[in-house]
Amino acid sequence: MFLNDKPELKEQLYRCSKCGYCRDTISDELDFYHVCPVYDVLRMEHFCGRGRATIALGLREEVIQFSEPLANLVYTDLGCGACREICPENIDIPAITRALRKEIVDRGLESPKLKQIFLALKDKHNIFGEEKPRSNWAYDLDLPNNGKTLYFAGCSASYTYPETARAIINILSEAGLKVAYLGEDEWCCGAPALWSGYMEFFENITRFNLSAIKASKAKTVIFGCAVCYNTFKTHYQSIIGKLPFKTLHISEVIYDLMVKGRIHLQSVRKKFTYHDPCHLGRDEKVYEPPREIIKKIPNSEFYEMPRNRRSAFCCGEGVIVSTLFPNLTRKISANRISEAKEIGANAIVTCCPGCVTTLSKAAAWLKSKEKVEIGVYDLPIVVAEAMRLKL
Amino acid sequence: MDNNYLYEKLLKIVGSERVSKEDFACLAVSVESTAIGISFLSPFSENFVPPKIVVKPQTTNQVVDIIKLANETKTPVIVRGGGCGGSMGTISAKKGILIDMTDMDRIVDLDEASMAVRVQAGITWGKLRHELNKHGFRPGPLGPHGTWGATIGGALSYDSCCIDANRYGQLSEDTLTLQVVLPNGDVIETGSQMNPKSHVYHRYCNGPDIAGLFLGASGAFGVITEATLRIYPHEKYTVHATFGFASLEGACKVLHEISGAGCIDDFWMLCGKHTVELGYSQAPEKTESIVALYAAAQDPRIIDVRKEKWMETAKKYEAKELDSSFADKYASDYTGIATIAGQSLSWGVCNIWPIKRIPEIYNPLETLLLKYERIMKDYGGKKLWSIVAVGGAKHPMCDFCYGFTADRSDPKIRTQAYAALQELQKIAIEHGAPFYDLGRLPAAAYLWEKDESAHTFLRTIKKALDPNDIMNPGSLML
Repeated sequence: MFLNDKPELKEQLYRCSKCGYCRDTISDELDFYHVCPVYDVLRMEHFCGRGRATIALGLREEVIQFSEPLANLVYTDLGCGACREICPENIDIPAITRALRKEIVDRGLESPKLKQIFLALKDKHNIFGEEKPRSNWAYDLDLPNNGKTLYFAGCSASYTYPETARAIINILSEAGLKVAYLGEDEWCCGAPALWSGYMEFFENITRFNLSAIKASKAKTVIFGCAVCYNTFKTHYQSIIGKLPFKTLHISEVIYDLMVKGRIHLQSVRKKFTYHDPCHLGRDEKVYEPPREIIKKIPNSEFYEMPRNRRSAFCCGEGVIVSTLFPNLTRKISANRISEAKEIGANAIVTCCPGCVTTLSKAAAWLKSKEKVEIGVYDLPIVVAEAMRLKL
Repeated sequence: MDNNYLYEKLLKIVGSERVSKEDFACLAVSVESTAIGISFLSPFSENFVPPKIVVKPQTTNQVVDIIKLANETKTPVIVRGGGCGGSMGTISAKKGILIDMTDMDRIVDLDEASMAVRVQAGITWGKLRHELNKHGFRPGPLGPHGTWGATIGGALSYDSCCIDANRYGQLSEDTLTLQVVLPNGDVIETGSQMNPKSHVYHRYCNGPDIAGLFLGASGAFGVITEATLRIYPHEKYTVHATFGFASLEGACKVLHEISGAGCIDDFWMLCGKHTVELGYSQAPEKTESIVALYAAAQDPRIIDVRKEKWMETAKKYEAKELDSSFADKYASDYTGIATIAGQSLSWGVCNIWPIKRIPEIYNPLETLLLKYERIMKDYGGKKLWSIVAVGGAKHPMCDFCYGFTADRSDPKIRTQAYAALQELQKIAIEHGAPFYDLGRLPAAAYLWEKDESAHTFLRTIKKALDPNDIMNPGSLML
């Protein structure tokens, strides 16, 4: 029976009191203004947390059965955790979704597109199925493969945003912090497998990366990607127990170096706002360091979006959702861009390459459609610019 | 009726994004708040009937077309708001079309002259409060369990007890006019709005109080599509406090006196030692009842006067003021009832009861709950029952709630839970307790046994308005 092996989640399904806070709550008292980004676009109950919990309960009670249409629905969940955040009963919808996806994969009901992504990930150890070496971005940086502090680049910075990876290395180096890098011994963090339901492969990835990090003798691992950070910090631990090293997000490291006076920022004339990546904010409660860094940039302005920190609206990326349902993602991210524009910002800063990708696409789309112009930046890029570093 | 025929017709009415016949989509809207509904979600139960199609209209005209289609095809219609009810009112007795009203969520008119707001019935309490707040207003009652996610239409259809109702009354008491789609597809306006030229919102005019027929009717007589409610200036000064009592009688006397004097907007009371242990574990020893009081006002002097009355009355009955964490929690996020419901009222009964007379019904309820606790324990259940009173009805009354939780995943326990629910409701009816949220509760049947003529009268109205019996079949046991 579904969830028999996960008694805590099973208990949550029965505990859900169906209050519906997770649907589209607007509450000045709770500081939430619409909760579920997917429901916000698709408008039917089965797309919100409560509907998903009810469906999971129905599957457990065998009132309904697993099917391909149902599998499609299950893969629309962004896993952004806004539903869990507002829930008075602490129902963990993202965890229930992961359990459902595992069941779907075990039954072979996942979409052919997802199967393809998985095969590429399994073969190439990166989410894009890229053939070229993962470490190309660092070809001239002469980074050691072992040391006290290690930088885990992740797939997006390695392949799509090499300038972000280089910015991180340059910022740390300028602040006097030397870091090691695993190079080809770094695999994808495994988040796409974890969020797709390929749990066996996720465990393999976990063990591979941990063994590579162990060999590097690192005591601290720094992440530029919110998803990688969350995957290591929370989900690896659920498999192997306590990690043998400390994990830090780059925003925490930069903030610490700034406080110690090892990073100095110069003028950038932009009107910034900050978009909380779900896996950094709600999942790991890192809310303030990125904001503090941006606010310290001379001659810049900072505006807060109405939905921020724990109630921040997801960008729509959802690890694999943007690949499977690009139109859904575009509508959600366009919504977020409009929110930033409405408060007068011309630059959205975030801390996750996934958010950068989806928000940039939406910004380009809105620019072509409504002449709305707004820049999207990963935090290290902004900091590097403010430090006048060459990338 | 062929489901594909209905689906194609509904597609034309609302568009492809607002209709679904997938089994999971139908399941998602087929349970409602509290596990009373969930106790039916079981393959062995004959009582669980999900709809065969879900549709989300955005306008009254679309509701009209849906109702006409249902009539033409003799298909049952179930109307659902926020899905936050606790009386199975939106859980159909027959397979049919479920109308999800939550995309009818606009503010139609904000009339400061009449101090009224006209809204589409699917607007949530959260959205209404947020929108009114922008203009410096609030509704009187602030919404039932489910608070932000519940809809105005749902609260009207079930006569919901609400937050701050001890001062403002149940929502129905603060309702001015309704727009209703009748089971034949006709649209009627009530009160002052019968006159399409009227820009005045008033209920008791232009003949009999027609709105009253639809309030609390569990959707049996039509679909409420719009409603006008009274509004009030937003109050920025608030006060809350928590008191502990050595006896339930003492707590009730204090509450009755303070409530009767109009000195509270809302309260929460944990009745009896067992419930105190469950809901406020840090209470001093020998505390038999905990009471949290809440009031708001536009003038800080009014707040001072109210607090003074609280302190004076508490002193008279030897109550102890406790640290305010209990009151803080419920006053700050309003999740009080939701939290209590989730933790200890998985199978609960709520009815209206005079605060002063709580002790006389407490003992038989406690005896029954203890009996079921023993039964549940045989199945491995925990000791988790509670008796709670909240200020969900106008003074000097309360919304009196009692029930328990157990492992809902065990069908044997669910069967016992339903038996307990029936017995609890029988006791309440025998004591003369009025039920505000009848829906498809067994209490409706017990009530009609007591008053056959009332039942006949309602059935006559139902037959006249809804000869094909399409509207929320099974609700009110009609």
